[in-house]
Amino acid sequence: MSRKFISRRSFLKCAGLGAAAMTAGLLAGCGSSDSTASSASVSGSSTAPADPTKPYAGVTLYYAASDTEATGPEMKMIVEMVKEKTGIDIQFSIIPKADTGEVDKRLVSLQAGDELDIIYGTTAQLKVFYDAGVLSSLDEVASAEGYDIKGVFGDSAPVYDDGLVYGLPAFTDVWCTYINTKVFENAGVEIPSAEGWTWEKYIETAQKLTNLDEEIYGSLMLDYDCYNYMYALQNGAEHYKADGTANYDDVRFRDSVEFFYSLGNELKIQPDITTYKAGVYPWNAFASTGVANASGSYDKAQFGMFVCGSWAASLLTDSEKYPRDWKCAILPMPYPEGQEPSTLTVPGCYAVPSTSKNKEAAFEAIRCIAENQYTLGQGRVPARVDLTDEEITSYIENDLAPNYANDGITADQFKAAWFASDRKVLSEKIVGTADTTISQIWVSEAPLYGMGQQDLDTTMKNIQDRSNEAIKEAELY
Amino acid sequence: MPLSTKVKAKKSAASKSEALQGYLFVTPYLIAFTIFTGIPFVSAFVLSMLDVKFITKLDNVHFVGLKNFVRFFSSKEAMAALGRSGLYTLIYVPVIMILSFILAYLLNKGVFWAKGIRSMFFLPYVSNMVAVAVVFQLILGPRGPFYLLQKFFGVEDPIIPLLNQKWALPAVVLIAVWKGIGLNFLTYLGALQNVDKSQIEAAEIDGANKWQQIRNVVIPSVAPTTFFLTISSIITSLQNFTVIQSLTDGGPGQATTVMSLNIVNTAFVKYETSYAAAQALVMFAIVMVITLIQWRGQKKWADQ
Repeated sequence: MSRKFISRRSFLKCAGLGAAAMTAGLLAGCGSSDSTASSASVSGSSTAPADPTKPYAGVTLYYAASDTEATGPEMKMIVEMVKEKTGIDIQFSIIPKADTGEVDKRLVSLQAGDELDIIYGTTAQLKVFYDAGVLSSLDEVASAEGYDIKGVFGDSAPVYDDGLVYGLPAFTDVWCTYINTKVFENAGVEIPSAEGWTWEKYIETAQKLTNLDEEIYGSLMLDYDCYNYMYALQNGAEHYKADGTANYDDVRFRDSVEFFYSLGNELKIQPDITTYKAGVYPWNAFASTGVANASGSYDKAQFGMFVCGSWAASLLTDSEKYPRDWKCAILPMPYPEGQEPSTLTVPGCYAVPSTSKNKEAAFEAIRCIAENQYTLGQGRVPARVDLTDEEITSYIENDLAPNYANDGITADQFKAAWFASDRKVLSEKIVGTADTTISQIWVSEAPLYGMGQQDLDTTMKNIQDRSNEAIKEAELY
Repeated sequence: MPLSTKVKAKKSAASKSEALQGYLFVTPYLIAFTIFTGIPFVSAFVLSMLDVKFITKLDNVHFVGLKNFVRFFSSKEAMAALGRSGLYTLIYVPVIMILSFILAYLLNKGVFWAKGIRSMFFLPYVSNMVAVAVVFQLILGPRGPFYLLQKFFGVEDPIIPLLNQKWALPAVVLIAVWKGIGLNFLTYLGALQNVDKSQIEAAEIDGANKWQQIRNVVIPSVAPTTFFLTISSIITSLQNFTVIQSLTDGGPGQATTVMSLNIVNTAFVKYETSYAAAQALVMFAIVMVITLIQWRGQKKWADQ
């Protein structure tokens, strides 16, 4: 079902063009990767398809995904769905996952000419692929098939400098608060209401839940770049000034960094960043901990609340990988008191690389995924704009909520957390000049303050200065 | 045809055949060298003079001359990374040289279970770096023995070296020394076993104490080995990508972002291929100079 990623032929291409690869190999001791001679061939059907509604039946497409993504329950459902609806087989090209500021091996591989048919990314992530010239525009194939991308997805499809569409958005990842109801029950704390769910209330609740002697934390957050600036965005700050320079000298960003790290350092309602960075708790700690052992006590830490994107909901349905003896509830993302309710979001899109040898079939596959992924009931908020309110309600009540019946998450909880139209939407990712570099600057500088190794003023000055330097370099070169 | 001419012709044919065989033997290496080193090197040189960002977008590439090199030498971040590479080398080389010599000297004097100890010191050298990184992250982490030991001795705010800006680089260097010491140690051991014992005895008879014997007899005797190991250790210390990537990924902050990491980040995170190529060539020049020194030095030692 899967294959190694970089083909030998591609590696040779890399050798010819890869000055930086040479560098890594010759100077940094980073040798050549394990290349295998598995070409990304597309086995097209030579005979006329039996079912005229499935013109690409029997075609095999390759999807670049990390091992975790490829083996997740949602992905298995997607593969089955695409097979059922289009007859197309999806196989995976397994690649290592790249976090913020890390090398995206998919892009390296596509630049080397590896033949891939489908990739996933947010609009911001796909922009880099577009800049590298390794994405196919979908306009031509869509118009050949008479498919109205704008009519189905509105303005959320990734469109870049040339005005063409380079992907189809399948869902919007909406941030929310996951609740471990057992922690609440044991602490005798009532699950708060979605109405007026502010950070102030979040902290107050988390303090009631926290019991460090028992390794119970009221809150859990990870170390993504956006945790550092989310509070600033919710207070109305923006990443860039009107003149295009960085806006991190805005006091709201300073407050945001101070706020985030105070949760672990001063308030101690969540693991401090040093503990988290040291790997004591993994990224999936919220779902992976909390199973009682034979004596009834818990072996690992428990977390009362977890603020994260809706993607984390797919962990809840994977009882094999994440067995739990507690139920989960959902609240919206908290917002600062005095501000309007808001949440971080990021659109998840599927795109066709320019190296694909069967772009029509790949378009058919991503169209199928983009239109229908949300129906799999894995906690996805559809990106489609052509759905009526009734269809959305029907989806929430008949597909989404039943999938979380074991947790007892109600349709109303889902509606409040993910579908509230009056909630202000903020981009989880930095989008603009030198955005990738600025994300990396955030994840390298801000934790230094959190770990007590750099004062706040220096931290903010470094973020501001380095970001401006990155913007200047991006504009100059 | 005169006999001498016949012999000459035979010799010539034999030497031609021998030369052909020689070429055949080196051909596989030359092909591999050309593909994996020669072409990338020439590409890097060409790229460093251009303004390529993505290798797949060459439609609007310009010749920029030495602009990428100027940018490198005027960039604070790049210079800081170069400085960290220098600091890494300044710690790594003396520590690995002194420790490997001491270990080899002690083992050469004869200790209990010498063969076992020799294997123990060599074992890290052949261990997988990622596995080593995981083990050290556990050992030095907040639930590891190093942290608990600090707590036991009453340290109020124990240090987690790999997450500490001041200690991360020295910690990484020491782990690299631990991992790499086996080779230096064995090389020294071989050199020490060849030291003329009569000279040591003569020094002893002349009243030299242990330290004087080491300083005036042993160390000069193994000087060629010391020279070779020093140079090769300097080069090894510049090839530190794997150890840093697996232990700290260049952090915390930029505390362990050395040149090798900076180059990879420039090429594959910032996607500035030409600029990365220029940085690579600067590093190449540094390694080249060190290698030339070694080459000349070896000749000098060989002549003695």
